[in-house]
Amino acid sequence: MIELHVWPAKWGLPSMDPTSLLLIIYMQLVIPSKFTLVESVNPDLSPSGQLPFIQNGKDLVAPASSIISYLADDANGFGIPTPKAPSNPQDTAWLVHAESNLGDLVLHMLYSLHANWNELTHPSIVYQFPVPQRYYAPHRLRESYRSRLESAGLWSLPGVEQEKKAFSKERPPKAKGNPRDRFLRVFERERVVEKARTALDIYTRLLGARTFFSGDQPSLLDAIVAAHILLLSRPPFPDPLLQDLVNTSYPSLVAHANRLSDQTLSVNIPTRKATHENFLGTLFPMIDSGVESDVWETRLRVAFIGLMLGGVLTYMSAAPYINPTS
Amino acid sequence: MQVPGPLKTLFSYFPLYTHPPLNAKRNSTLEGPTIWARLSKANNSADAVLSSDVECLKWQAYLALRGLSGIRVRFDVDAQGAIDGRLPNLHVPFDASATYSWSADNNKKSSTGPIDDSTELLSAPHIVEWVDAKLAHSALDDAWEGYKDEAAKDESRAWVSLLEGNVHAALLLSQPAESFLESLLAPPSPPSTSLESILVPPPPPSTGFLSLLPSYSFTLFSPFGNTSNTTGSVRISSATRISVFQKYPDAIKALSERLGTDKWFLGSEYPTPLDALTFAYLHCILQSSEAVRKEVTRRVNLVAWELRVRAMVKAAFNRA
Repeated sequence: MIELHVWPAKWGLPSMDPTSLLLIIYMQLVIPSKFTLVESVNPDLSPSGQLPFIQNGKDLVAPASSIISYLADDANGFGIPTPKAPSNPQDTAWLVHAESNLGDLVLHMLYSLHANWNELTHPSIVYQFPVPQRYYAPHRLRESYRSRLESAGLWSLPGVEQEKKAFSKERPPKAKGNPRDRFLRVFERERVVEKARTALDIYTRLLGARTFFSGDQPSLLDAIVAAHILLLSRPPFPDPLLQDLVNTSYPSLVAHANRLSDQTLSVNIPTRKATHENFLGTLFPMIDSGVESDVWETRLRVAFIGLMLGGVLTYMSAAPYINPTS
Repeated sequence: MQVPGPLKTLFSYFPLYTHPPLNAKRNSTLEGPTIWARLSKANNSADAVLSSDVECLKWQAYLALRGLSGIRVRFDVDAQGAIDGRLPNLHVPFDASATYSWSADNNKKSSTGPIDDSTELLSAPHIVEWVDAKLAHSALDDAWEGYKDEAAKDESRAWVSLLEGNVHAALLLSQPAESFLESLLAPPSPPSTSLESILVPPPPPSTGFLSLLPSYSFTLFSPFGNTSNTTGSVRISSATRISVFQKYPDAIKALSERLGTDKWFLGSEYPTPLDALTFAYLHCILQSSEAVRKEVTRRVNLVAWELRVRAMVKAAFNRA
């Protein structure tokens, strides 16, 4: 039985991460009910260092594109009747565009807006981690998305509510600074909304009046777009910047996402929580074997430990001969 | 209060000479618009005009394909001397009549003597405005920005993300890892797109998410070779590398199928920014290692297209 390790379930959706959710939807379309979900917060077990990954007996496969080609490979015995590979060349481009642009919007809502991070995402995930990791792992997770959001210009947008709290308690409000700052913040939020609008308009036009993006059978592009729209519209965001935009202005995309969710996610997928047995092992970095640079790394590691032990033994054996100066 | 006598005699041993200010106008006359770009490492011959960096080359291609010519190229400016530390920059004669968005505040300043404000330096995003002002024609004036129709314009966005995602990641990963000595001696690299901003989901920190060791301490002490394509604190595992090189041939195949035998991408009548970007990536791929090059050399139409566009782009530049 294939096990798909994903980030935990929240807000009525089987996972809170867009890549995990899109894989769940895709696998439900391709091999319905033939896999189990494992809710995990330990990405270090994965071969690529990130969730989601699958485990099929001895095979561990990650990241998402490798998983999709693993499933499509007949040698693994899944017997998928229709290959969901893109037939038009532009479909390849659309898949990448959807994952990167819509993914940026979802990550901005979940991880960048301070109100959402403090009140929604962080509390949802922090208690899933065991005790010492609770204090630093969520922050590391957020930092890992920072580079991508910064290059898209979607990072560290102050939410309106959070700024109000800071000003009222700590400092006397500077009357001259405030109106201009507030104007700049509102302007930045408008810019994010414009960016979202351009991306979502493209998908509305691409979908048109059809049921799915490529005819009447859902494909990988449908899974990607639906997963991101579900994560933009369903969670109860304290700062609903893009949620309102999606729910009010893009009914066709929301309807498409709901249609796909009813088809795939309404069925109960067997789920279990990942066990925390090798808890101490997670405190130290995993060794990734098999690449040329790591042979050199293992050699250095062995040499270092060898020299260290050798030095300790030499010192201990020489200790009786060292005269303490009196 | 006067300087006391002994101090005055002490100071007389160290006289102060004042020299008149140098007038920079006479020294360097700008003969025409000049682009500051990063040099190709392999090809140092005197007539190399095309940069080997994707970012610089895409702007060179943009200028050439929009119909400008006679632009000079300088490779001797280091990235640290550019605006925001990023090349390319365009050095143009100052045109007081044109209204650019960034010079609105500067118009009120009167020029002081020694500062030479007869030229200005534009960073990459402003190049588009300059070209629009020079040609008196903006891409936004065309129907669908120069593409065939609205669907083609939307599709162009998808192709841009394919190029800047899959193809760029493969290009970055295929660059040879620089040795420890080189990474110590090299100047700080400019902020360019690194793998962490391209890969979905982003690569984990080098010590993993859950370990107690913080990740930044690993960047300095890695004698087994730092790849310069990440900021050093993330771990690109072999599984990620394999998947990047699996997606790359599909991307090139799709690019080649979409081009077919058209003159410009997506069947446009005139060259578009997508053509400039594609040319930049194809040219850099053809100059990099065999692993990524062989995918493109297999597609005859891409090679032929690149050759044709290369001739057009080269013709627009000359070496300063």
